[in-house]
Amino acid sequence: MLVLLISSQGVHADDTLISGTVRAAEGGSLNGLVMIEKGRLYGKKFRYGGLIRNGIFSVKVDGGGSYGLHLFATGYVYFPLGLQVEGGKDNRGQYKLPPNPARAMAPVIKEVGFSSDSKATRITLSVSDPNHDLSHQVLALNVSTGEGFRMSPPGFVLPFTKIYPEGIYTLYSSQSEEFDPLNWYFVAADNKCYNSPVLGSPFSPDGVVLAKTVRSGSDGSPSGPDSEVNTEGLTVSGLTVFTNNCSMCHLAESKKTKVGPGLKGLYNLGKTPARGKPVTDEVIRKQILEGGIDMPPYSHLTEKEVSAVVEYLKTL
Amino acid sequence: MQPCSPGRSLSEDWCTPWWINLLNFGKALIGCEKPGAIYRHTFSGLLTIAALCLLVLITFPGLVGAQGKRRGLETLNPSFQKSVLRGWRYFQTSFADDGVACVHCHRDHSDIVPWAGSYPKVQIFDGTPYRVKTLGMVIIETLDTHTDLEPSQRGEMAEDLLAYIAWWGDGQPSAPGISVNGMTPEEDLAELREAVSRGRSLFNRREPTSCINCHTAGDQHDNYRKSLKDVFLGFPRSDGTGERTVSLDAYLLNHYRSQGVVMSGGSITDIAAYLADLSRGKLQRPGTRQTGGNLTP
Repeated sequence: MLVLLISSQGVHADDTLISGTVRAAEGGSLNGLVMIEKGRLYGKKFRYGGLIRNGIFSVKVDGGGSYGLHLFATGYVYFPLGLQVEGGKDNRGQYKLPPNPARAMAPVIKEVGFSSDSKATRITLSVSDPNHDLSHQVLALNVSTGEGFRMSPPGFVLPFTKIYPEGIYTLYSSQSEEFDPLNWYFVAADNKCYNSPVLGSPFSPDGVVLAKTVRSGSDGSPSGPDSEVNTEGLTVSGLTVFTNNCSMCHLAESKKTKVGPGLKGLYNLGKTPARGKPVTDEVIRKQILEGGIDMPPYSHLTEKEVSAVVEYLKTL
Repeated sequence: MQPCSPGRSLSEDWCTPWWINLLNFGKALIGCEKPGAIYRHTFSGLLTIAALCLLVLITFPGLVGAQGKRRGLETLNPSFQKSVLRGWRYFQTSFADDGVACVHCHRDHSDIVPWAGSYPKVQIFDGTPYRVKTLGMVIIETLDTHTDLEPSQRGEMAEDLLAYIAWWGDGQPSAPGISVNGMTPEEDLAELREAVSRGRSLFNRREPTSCINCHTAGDQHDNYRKSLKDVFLGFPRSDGTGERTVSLDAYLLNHYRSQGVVMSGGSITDIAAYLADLSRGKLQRPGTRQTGGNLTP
């Protein structure tokens, strides 16, 4: 797949590439956008970009040196990283994006507009941010050229400003060939690493765009915590409690040890895997609330949360 | 070379330098000496090899799997344990209106393991300065961005979060400046080298309150000065109250203050970078030492 992707972009063996795989923290490959700064991370010099398709990206850059890599996928927290790139090589990495835990707080690109005259096409984005913490990263990608751009903010902004204004962001594209909006993608990020949906642009003839979100999952389906479970009641709540408190140490789908023992089939085991105590609600509740054998006490969980997670454990 | 005669005792063999024992054993094994010599050299030779193996294992415990062996929570000293557990809870608790806690974006603890050993390093977030930072500074910056807490509420919380992260790095080699994917930008490494150099200068400057007056940076302690070569690996350490831990940053700040010297945050970071560089590659063991009442390392 990677070879096909590279060859389709006319890449030669001695080109310098930044490439890699992008997976969701909970597993599965992602679709999205990669934007690359020339020079140090957050130097605000976006020059290159490309699409992440089925979890794979490859972007050609101009020689070795320092670059800032930014990965965006709809519904996930964006990932920034400074890279030292070797010239004439394919510089590969593996990256993992966590799902955005506060999607309602992510920036929003409300509208995309294109207007052309004889010299240039003016691209505008209407950007807002629910937590009013927008960063300088209101970005545009032209996939036909592999160029990335940072869009100009509304009004005057001081060079070291951290919080950027909401409003209309602008970019002038003066490319000589025919302008094709279908080649353009957009994303905006705030200072908390929340990003807007990655937008492609099917648009109406009058130039006003109701942008289409590039979905995250490789199968085109939306992925992330919102779509994980469709059941209701205690199990849903228990899953949430488990995900937020237990899943970093315990696997739910296996008996293998992650940090602590896997909990699949816990209630069928008869004895708890670490301490060998009988598996009863009382014992499990005590283990959660008091901890023990390298497990910290989770006494801050409410009675309802403990009950919910105990019920959830019974379903594994 | 001292020959090994049939009449010599084991104790004489034992007194022979180890490298001669090993050489003789090797010669006997490959038949360079007359038949029977191997029996004379076997005991001392094997003993030497065993001693050398033991030395290697003690010096490089990572070779036998000590690397990555984090000490269990229940084996930690009480104040470090308390701090780790508080940090653990903070890691999983939101202190912001949006309900987001650290754990929501850092779900996999395997990602946390290399953090503590990779600082000080250049760590930049959007809108933060481009410079070498300690892990403590980065935690404070993160709390600033991702919580609604007042600055006065963040200090002790940051120390506990630091203890928690340091515990996950327990048993891992110190690798200051190295980013997770290994492709660390050269500019960042250059910035760290400059910080280490500044730290070395501060450590060695000739002033009445300089580090060099009471400490060495080498392997040996001397009659008057204590080596700080591996002191970095033991931080954060217990503050002596049995309740809390203290990071290297806070420790250095207080230590200088007790000497009547006010150090800037930048200088503290430089000295921390120098101390971290001295222990590069060695295994971290946070919380293993306790700060004395006089704040002497």
